[in-house]
Amino acid sequence: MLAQLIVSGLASGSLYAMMAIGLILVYKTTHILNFGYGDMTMFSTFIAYMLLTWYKLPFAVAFLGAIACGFLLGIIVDRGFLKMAKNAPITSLFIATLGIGMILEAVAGWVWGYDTKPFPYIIKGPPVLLGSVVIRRHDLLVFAIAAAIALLLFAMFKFTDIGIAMRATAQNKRAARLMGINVGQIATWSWAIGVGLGALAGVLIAPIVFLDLTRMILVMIKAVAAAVLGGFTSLPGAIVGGLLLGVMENLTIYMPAALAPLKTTFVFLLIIIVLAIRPQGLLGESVGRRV
Amino acid sequence: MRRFILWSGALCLLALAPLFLRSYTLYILNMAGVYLVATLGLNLLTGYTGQLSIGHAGFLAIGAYAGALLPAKLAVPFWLSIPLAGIISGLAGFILLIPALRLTAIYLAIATLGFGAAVAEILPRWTAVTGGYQGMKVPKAAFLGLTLDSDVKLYYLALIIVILMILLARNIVGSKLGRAFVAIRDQERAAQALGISLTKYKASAFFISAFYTGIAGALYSFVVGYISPGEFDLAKSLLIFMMMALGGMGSIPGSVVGAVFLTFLPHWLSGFRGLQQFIYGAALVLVVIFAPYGIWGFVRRWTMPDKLQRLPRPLRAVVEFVRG
Amino acid sequence: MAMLEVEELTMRFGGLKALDGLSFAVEEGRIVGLIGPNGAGKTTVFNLISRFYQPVGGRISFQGKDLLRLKPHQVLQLGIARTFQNLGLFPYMTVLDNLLVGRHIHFRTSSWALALGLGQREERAFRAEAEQLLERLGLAPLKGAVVGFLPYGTQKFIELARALMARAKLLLLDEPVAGMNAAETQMMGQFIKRVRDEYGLTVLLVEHDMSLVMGICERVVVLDFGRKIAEGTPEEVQHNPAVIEAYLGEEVEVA
Ligand SMILES: Nc1ncnc2c1ncn2[C@@H]1O[C@H](COP(=O)(O)OP(=O)(O)O)[C@@H](O)[C@H]1O
Ligand SMILES: [Mg+2]
Repeated sequence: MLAQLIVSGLASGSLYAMMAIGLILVYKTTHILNFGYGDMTMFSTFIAYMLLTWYKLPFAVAFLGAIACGFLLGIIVDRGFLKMAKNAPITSLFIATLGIGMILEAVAGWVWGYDTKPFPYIIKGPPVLLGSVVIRRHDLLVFAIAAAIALLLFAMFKFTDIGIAMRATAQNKRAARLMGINVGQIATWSWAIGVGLGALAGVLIAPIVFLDLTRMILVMIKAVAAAVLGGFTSLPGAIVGGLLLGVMENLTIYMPAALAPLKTTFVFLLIIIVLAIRPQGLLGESVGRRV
Repeated sequence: MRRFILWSGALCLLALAPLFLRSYTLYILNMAGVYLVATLGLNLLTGYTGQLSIGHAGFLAIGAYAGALLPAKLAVPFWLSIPLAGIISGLAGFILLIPALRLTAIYLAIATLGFGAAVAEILPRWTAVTGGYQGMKVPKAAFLGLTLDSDVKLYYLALIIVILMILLARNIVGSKLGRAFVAIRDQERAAQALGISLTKYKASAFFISAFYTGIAGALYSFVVGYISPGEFDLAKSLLIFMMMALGGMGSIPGSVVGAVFLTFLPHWLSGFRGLQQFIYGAALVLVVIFAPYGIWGFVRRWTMPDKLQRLPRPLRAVVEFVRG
Repeated sequence: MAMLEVEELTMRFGGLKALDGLSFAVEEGRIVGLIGPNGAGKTTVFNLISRFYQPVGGRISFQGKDLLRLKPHQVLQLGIARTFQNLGLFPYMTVLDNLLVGRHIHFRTSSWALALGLGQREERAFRAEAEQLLERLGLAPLKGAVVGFLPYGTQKFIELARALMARAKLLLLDEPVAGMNAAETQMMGQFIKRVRDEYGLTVLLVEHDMSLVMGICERVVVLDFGRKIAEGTPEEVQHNPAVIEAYLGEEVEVA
């Protein structure tokens, strides 16, 4: 039972982690908390939905379509909107992302309607048995993709020019600029990859939670919580935070029945306790500044 | 003198407004008053003291339920229930002080988000008192035998509360209290070195902010007449945040402008059927692009000549002091 | 007994020993220089006095009172004010408001009364005092200006004025002339001396600029790698071989 809960918690945790990474990528290079992320994810997932059910295209195409849409959205948001307000304080830019989210929600409502839609699983078939633990095939896919993404990102930050430039920008924008890095371009890349990751996660989440205009916002909140838990500045932290959050959520089942309805409260309380002990999150860099 | 005339004129206009306005418009104005007070509260905390909160709907809820329950269950007179709601909410604000002493920026924001979520989750489960998910009817506010049963009467209540709260905010901001807030926001270490206790002033900021939002909540319950837990969700917290940031952080007139603008915007848009959300979102983005420091910052830029352009050369001045 | 006594002070940041058994004393009424190459640990001394860090070992006492038992915001109440190496001004406040924060601990009106709009007399009195100080500094025309937009040198003077508003007995100045040209430096030096005499202050001065230190300090403590390598009058220190070596090393590094 416990093992079962942990495994399925890890599965949803992987999805939170994926979304959390998207948030952190943007945050690290631009310091913007992208609260339009849920809507951007929703929009990209609807693209996949449309390709799948309207045009009956194969899954691979739908998958790529969603990611491409996320990628493009990221570029449009950064180049089309945020760059126009480049002198704005980050609190204002945070609101701009909310506004963009609303626009996307409105458009999605016109195009795809307002009702909740079931989203097909990519792979079907009976669950796999591992000892006494039942694992859905979908969860296996999630694990595989999450691991691949983690490896890909690791390689990107280690070996590619863009990845290295991103790291430099995250560390010190001014120094990066002096080194000849086009910081604006790096921000755009972060947006593109970040929102693209959200799209990828969205297609994997939608079969589980179904798809409508606002559901992804709830998932995003969890991703934010996971990111904070891990220490909003660290990608490995996001993975740890996401997995931990997923497992923690599942384990709330062991709470006394009377407290069971207060699941969210409990999860947040745990997060706050973790933060009280480690204010910079589990793997975050110390926030203490020098005087 | 000119200012005095200006302000009395504005006050007269506000006092006479019910003569010209439809009941529905008054209702929206009352809501604007509610949000104005809440926005002032958030601004004192976030705009002035630099403590991010995206969980203020929690305080709004506490104030609303306190404002409704005190007269309904404990027969507290209505004139007392509003300030009491503020105080109860203010005390709840201390809950957030604990994370605030340890956390900054986004980490604190997530703690406040958790607070908002917790309030939203606890309220409906506390069925015996709050009436659960269905919500509860709020008793009509009554005062000296006068029942506030119309939008016009409620308008005057809202107007009085708004004016009092603005004056209070002005006093706070213009005193050592407000300066200590800004000092903590901008240079925590320097503030401490000047004798400002972070614990004491962050506690004050959280109390005051939650107090304001609690008062707003109580007013809300009387204006709406019926409250249910679902109204106090993350969207509401974000709405108050947007009012603060789009109006102007660290500015009282900014709070007024932001709250009124975003309260009226959906109603202005009600003619555009199906387009409301789109235009609302676009409006947010446009304001950020064209008025990055809030609407009030934008207004100020055009109405205030730039004092900084005419600065004298400072060194010449220092010379005189040194030479005695 | 000296006004400020630092004994065997040791501070560690991770593996780095920023201060290593440092002892020195500041006599009342003096201007004492605390010098040393970059990274010697000077600012760390100030931050320990300000109680921002907890030392690994050692004592700091001020007029016989144990400083290490205080919280950061209580240090000024004893009578120690400071400035910061990289400016500790509140950039979005006006010059006048910055100075008034300097007076913060001297307000007698309670917060509740302030919220109700009381205590205007006190506010006005302090405001007048701040304006007077600005007037004397010749900075009066700037009183309504937002501090962050002013030239760096001016900001340094304003920060010092804010510390004066605090009515402290001991002033800790962290590189007051960093980034200033020779004329400004000289002016600042004279200014410090003047306020010391007028306000009856004691000054502990961290500085890189030797001309200022040699010009106004009566005693100098030299740090290198967290240790005291010399102490004495400016002349004595100037000719101390250990000091020359420490500074020579730095010049080589720079070159
Ligand atoms: N908060 C801190 N965390 C880690 N190391 C620090 C911190 N503050 C100072 N240091 C280190 O301690 C040493 C002394 O620093 P500092 O006192 O600032 O030197 P100075 O002011 O003499 O130039 C330096 O090596 C510096 O890098
Ligand atoms: Mg230093």
